[in-house]
Amino acid sequence: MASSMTRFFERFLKIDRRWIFLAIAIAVVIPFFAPLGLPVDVTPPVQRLYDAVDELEAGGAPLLLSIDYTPATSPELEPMSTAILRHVFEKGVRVIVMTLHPAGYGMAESAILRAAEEAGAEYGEDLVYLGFQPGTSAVILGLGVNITNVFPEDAYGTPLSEIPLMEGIRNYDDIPLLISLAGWSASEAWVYFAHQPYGQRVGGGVTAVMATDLYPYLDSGQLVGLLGGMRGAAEYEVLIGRPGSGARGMDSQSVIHLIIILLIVLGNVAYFATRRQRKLAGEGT
Amino acid sequence: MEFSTLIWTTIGVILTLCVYSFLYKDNPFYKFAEHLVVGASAGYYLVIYYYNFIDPNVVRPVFQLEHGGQAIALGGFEWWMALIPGLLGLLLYARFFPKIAWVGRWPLGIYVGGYAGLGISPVMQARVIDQMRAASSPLASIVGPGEVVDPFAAVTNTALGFVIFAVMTYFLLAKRHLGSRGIAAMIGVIAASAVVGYGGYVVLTALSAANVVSTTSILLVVGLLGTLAYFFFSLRHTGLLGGLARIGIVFLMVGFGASFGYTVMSRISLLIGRVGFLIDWIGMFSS
Repeated sequence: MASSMTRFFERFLKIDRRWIFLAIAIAVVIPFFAPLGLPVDVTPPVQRLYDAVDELEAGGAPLLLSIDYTPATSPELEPMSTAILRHVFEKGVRVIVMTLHPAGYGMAESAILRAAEEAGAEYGEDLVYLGFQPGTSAVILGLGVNITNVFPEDAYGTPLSEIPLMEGIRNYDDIPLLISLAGWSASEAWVYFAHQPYGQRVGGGVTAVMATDLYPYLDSGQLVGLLGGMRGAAEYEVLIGRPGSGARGMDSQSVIHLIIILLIVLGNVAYFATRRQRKLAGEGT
Repeated sequence: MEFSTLIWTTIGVILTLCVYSFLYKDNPFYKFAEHLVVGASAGYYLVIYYYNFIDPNVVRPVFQLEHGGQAIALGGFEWWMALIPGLLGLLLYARFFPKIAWVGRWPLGIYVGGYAGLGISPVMQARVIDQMRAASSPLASIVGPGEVVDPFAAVTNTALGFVIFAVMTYFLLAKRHLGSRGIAAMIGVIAASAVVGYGGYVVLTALSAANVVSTTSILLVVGLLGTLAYFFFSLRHTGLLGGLARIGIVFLMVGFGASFGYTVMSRISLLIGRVGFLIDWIGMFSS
């Protein structure tokens, strides 16, 4: 019995990793066709960001949304931008969208066009797309002085002075909340260069891999709220009552985490179970 | 659905499958997709940077081309302010010519100096000053009075608090007095640590319930001091400093574990995104 277990563990440790890839692929696909409907609980950082957006006045001072992600991180961050834009458009909150990443130019444009079309939002009245400017820190600091110094015109070449939404919007003093959705250090840059010197309220949405780096800014009040990865997006979707691609992926996410935990436990058990065998083999040689 | 959408989405599907074919083994289809991504990205970035930055900020002002209805006088201050950064940018390419490669250090020096000037103060404020202020706030401040506690969070917090206090007691007190030789002694040490640790945790929880201190704050401060002690190398890690440093390792490991979990979630999210894309593509034919 013991030797058959040892043989099993020895074979397990030598398993071709492509079998693991296959198991993961199957675990991702199945919940798409047979959703498990696992509950998504809302965590405090997400609730705080939702509350901050929810407090914005319809038709009042706009939200500044910086869509700083690229196609490589869009599965985690695009559900966030979609959910936030749906939330603000449903409430009638106006929004200024921009990006600090060249690859974010198209991502931001497709996100706002989709959400605006869905909500019937009117360009120039309900939203403005400023486009991209390079030089992260200089851009963020410049917006605190005068937005038109950094973006003299919107992404389509219209001077900001001719856009109704931008009337009376000069700098951070006229923007009650700023949210950065980023797959790189842009959210931290917004904290450094918008919150610190100007006191701007900043919220963040980042890839899960970056979330732990930003948690310290929550307790200190430098971030008003934080969405971490696909899970954060799913929680925001739950809060607005419109489950989307974030919530859709959480079943697969949960199943895969169970598989990975099982593999870690089995791997360790197999390692310790075969250690004595390896020691004996080492002594024999 | 437009025909062009179907065509481009299908091309995306083929390229996705080319990339995932690498999981079986390296092959020409993967190489093709890899090179296509690098080439297309470089071309895309070049166009975006040129039309959003170089053209409106350098080319048009310097060569007096029409832009946004604004005319810039030749030789005026704004003209020089467009020309000089443009020339400095060109100097970066001097490194391709060995004889004048040193000239490329000038714009680099200006760039680094400028960024340091812009960044040092706010970054110091954000990462050090405000973090120190948050860490030195009153211990009762983090969990507010009357806060509704999620039952699951309460159980996990209790378990976490128990483990951390047990480990702290083990390293600071029990290990020194009971010794650690032999399995029986080790079990005794762990049991004593658990009892003393749990007692400490119960006392702190009671104080927390009375709003005297917050257990979360206590853990935060202990974790902070322990981690700082671990990275303090001017004294030998023995005695109290050694115990604190060991506690710091526990907190570091908890932090690394959380980072690892989030990293797995992040990578899996990318896979889920691609699989969702493939499934949506299949759905295009049924709609």
